[in-house]
Amino acid sequence: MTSGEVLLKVDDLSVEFDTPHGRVRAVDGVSWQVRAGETLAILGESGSGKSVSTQALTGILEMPPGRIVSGTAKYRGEDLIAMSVKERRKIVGDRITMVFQDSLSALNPVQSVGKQIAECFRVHRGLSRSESMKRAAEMLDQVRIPAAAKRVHDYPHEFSGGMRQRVMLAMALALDPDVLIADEPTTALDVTVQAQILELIEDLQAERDMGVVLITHDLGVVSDVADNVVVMYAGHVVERAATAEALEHPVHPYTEGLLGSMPSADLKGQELPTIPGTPPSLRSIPSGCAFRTRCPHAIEDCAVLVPPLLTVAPGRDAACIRRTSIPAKEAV
Amino acid sequence: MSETQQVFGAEAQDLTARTLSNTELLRALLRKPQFVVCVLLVFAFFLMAAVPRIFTSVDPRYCELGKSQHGREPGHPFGFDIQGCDYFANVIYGARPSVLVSVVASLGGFAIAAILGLLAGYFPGFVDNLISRTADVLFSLPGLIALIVVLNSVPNRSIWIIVGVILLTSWPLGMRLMRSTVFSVRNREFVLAARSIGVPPLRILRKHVFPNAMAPLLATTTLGVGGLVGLEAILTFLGVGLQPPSISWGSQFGVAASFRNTPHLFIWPALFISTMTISFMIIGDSIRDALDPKLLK
Amino acid sequence: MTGFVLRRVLAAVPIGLIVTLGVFALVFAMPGDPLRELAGDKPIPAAVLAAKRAQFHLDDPFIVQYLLSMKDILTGNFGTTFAGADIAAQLQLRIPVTLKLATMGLVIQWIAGLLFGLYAGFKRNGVVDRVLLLATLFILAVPLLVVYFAAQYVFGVELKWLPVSGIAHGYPLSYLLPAVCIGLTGFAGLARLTRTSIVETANADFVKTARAKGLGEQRILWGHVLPNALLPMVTYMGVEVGGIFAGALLAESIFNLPGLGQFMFQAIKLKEGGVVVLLSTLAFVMFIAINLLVDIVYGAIDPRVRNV
Repeated sequence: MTSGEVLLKVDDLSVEFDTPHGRVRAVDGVSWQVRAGETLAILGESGSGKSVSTQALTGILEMPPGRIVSGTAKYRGEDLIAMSVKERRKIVGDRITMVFQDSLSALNPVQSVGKQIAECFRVHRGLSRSESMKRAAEMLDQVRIPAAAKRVHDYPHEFSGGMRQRVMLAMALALDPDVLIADEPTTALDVTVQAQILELIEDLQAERDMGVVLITHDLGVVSDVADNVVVMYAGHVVERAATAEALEHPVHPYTEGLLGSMPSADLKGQELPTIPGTPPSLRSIPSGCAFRTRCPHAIEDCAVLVPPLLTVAPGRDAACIRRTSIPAKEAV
Repeated sequence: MSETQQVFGAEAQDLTARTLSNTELLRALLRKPQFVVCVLLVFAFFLMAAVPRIFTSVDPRYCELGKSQHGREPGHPFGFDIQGCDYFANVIYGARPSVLVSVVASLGGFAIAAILGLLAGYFPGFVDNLISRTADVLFSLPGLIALIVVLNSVPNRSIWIIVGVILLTSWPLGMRLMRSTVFSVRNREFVLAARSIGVPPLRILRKHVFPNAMAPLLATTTLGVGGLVGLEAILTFLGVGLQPPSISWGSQFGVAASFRNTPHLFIWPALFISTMTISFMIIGDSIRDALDPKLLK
Repeated sequence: MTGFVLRRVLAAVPIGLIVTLGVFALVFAMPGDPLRELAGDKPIPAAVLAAKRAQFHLDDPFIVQYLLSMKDILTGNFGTTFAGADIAAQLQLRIPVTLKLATMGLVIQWIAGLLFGLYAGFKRNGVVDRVLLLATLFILAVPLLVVYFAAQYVFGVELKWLPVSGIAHGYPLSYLLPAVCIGLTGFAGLARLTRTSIVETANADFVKTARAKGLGEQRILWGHVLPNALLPMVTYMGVEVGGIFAGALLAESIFNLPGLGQFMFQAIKLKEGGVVVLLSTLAFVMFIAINLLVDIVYGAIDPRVRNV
C-alpha cells in the first residue's frame, strides 16, 4: 500500500525562533517521508512543532523571526530548503500545496472564491482569465459544492465552515499536486462535517495517487485515515510507525499515554486515564528526554541525553532509552 | 488633535485584553532612555505650571514700554515682548494654561469616554442608542467649528470653561473606541462566567470589562495629551480661548503673528510648546509599545 | 443602491436639524446686540434700527428665527449679511477659495501619505520605515499653529519663496504654502495608518495561503495585502475630507485667505446666526455626503459590508 515513489523526504530538520527572551528551538532534528498514495499523519499537541516544520520547508514561515538551522527537504530529490525562492515557488503551490485549519481567515475575505482558485491557474499555468474561472468552477464541482457554477462568484463569508474548507481543498488540488499538506484541516469543524472532509480528501487522493501529509492532534483522525504516523513532542519526533502497529503496540510512553487517554466504549464507567502534567514551554524544555517529567517510566538516565530515534523493529522507530524493543503488551 | 488620536487609536486597536502588571509595565518603560527624558521634561513643565517662581524671579507683568521688542540682554535671556515685559518670565508663566488644559481635559475625557463607552457597549438598546445618537450629532460638525461656536457664546471664558467645552465636544471619539472594545469583550467567557454566577452588572463592568477594555482608550488618550496643548493655543490664538490679561502660549502666538519682524516672540513659545507636545507624544508612544502584545511573547 | 443612499439621507435629516438648531441656539445665546456692535459708537436712528431688526427677524422668537433661516437656506434665498453684503455673491467668491485650498492640501497629503505609507509598510524596518516613523511622530507632535507660523515665517517672510498671505498672487502660488501645511500635517497621520494597516494585514492567515500558493511577493502585496489594508485607510481619508473645513478655517485665518472658514469665523464673531447656520448646514451636508461616499467605496472593496 505504501510502495509508491518517495515524493517528499525531510531529513534532520531543525527550526529556531528569535524571541525577546532568547532563542527557542521549535523543531529539532525531525525526519519523515511521504510516498505517492500514502497518507502520513504528523501527530502532536499544539506547540510540538508539527505545523512549524511543514511551514519551514515550504518557505511560508516568517523568517525572521524563524530560522532553519539544519536539514533538507527533498521533493523528488531536489532540496526545497537549499533552492532559491524563485525555484521553490515553482514547486510549492504547484506540486506541493497546503490546506490550513481556519478557512475563514485563510481565505482572502475581499476576493471571490472563484478568483482565488483561478489565481493558481493564472500564475502557474498562465491560463486566460475566463479559462481559469471555468476551471475554478470545475474544481468547486469536484469538491462537491452544490451549484458550483453559481457559487464561484461568492465570497468566503458566504460559505459555511465545511463548504469553506472544501473551497480550500479545491484551491489546493486545482493543479493536481503530488503532495498535499493539510494542516489541521478538520479541527474547526463539526464531527459529521469533519468525516465528510476526510472522506473527500481520501477519495481525491485515490483519484490522483497523491501523497498526503496530515497534521493533526486528533488520534481519532489518525486511526481513521493515516497509513503511517509520526508522533511529535516538544519539537522532536518520538515515534514513527505504521498507524495500525502504533495503535496496537505503542512504543514510546507518550504515544502510549495518548492512546490510553482516548475514551472508548470498553472503558465506560471507569475513570479516563490522562497524561499527568502539561506540555513543556519551548523556553524551558527539560534536559535529556523532554517527556521525562511526565513519564511514568522515567529513570535518572533520562535526564542525561536526548534519546536518539532508534529502530525498535522493522519500519518502527522510537526515541526512548527505556523501550528499545517492542514490549509485550501490558495488561490494561 | 482628533486625527492624531484616530491614527494611534487604530494602531492601538488590538491592545485589548492584555493585562500587564503595573511593575512589569513600569520596568519595561524605564528601560527606554527617551521615555525617561520625556518624563523628566514633562515634570519640569508641570513644575513650571505649579510654581513658576522657582524658574524666574521676574514678574511677567512688570513692563517697561521703552524696551518693547528688544532682544536678549543679561538677566533677560529671551528679550522683551511688545509691552516691554520680560519674555522669559512670560513664556514660563504661559505653561500653566497649557498644562492645565491638557492634563485636566485628558483625565476628564478619559473618564467620560470610558464611562459612556462602557455603558453604550454593555447595554445595547436604549442606553446605547441614546449615547451613540448624541455622539453622532456632536460628531457631524467639524470639532474646531463646534468649539468656536460654543466658546464664542460664553462670555468671560476661564480656563475651566475651555476645558469643559473641550470635554463636551471631544468625548464621542473616545466613546466610540471604548464602545467597540467593550463589544469585543462583553461576550468573552470570563464575563459570561461572572454573569452566570449573578454578579451585578455594574460590578461586572468595573471589575471585568473595564480592565480588559481600557488599553486602546488609554493609549489614545496619552497620545492625545500633546494635541490638547496645541488645541488650547489654537483657540486662544483664534480669540475664543483665554482672554487678556491671561498669559498663555496661544496669546503669545497671536501677538507674534502681527509682529513678524521680531521672530523671538514666536520662537520661544513655539519651542516650549513643541517640546512639551513631543514629550507627551513620545511618552504615549512608549506606553503603547510597552502594551503591544506582539512584543511580549 | 438607490434605496441605501435614500435611507442614509433620510436618517441624516433629523441629525441635521438638531445640529443646525443647536448651532443657531448657541449663536442666539451669544451676549450683546449684533446690530449695535456693528454700528460701533455711532448713534443709529431708531427707525433704521427697527427696519434692520425687521429685515433680519431679530425681534421674532428664537424658533421662528430659526425656521425663517432654514426656509431661506432651502429656497436658496440667502439674503445679505448685517453689513449688507450679498451672501450668495460671497459664497460664489469664497467657495472656490476653500475648494482650491482643500483639494490641493488633500492631494498633497494623499499622494505623500500613500506613497510613503505603502513603501514603509512593504519594507518594514527598512531605512525609509524608520525615518518615516520618527519624522511623522514629530510632525504629529508639533502643534499645527507652530507648523503654520514657522512655514509662513521661513518660506514667506525670510526666504520670500512664496507669498506670506492673501490671494493676490492667484492660484496656485498663493495657495501653495497653506496647502503644503495642511498636506504635511495630514500626511503624517495617513502615512502612519497606511503603514500599520499594511503591516497588520501582512500577518493575516490568507497571506500565508497566498504564499503557499506559490505567488510572487509583488502579487501578494498588490493582489492580497493591499485590497484588505485599504479598508481602514478609506475610513480615515473620509474623516479627513470631512474635517478639512475645520483645517481650512485655521489655515485661512493665518494665511488670510478669503474662504469659507474665514467667513464662518467672521460670522460667529459678528453673531450672524443666519450665516453661521447656513455654513454649518453646508459643512453638515458635506459631512453626510462624504460619509455616504465612504460607505459606498467601502462596500465596493469589502463584500462583507455590502448592504445594498
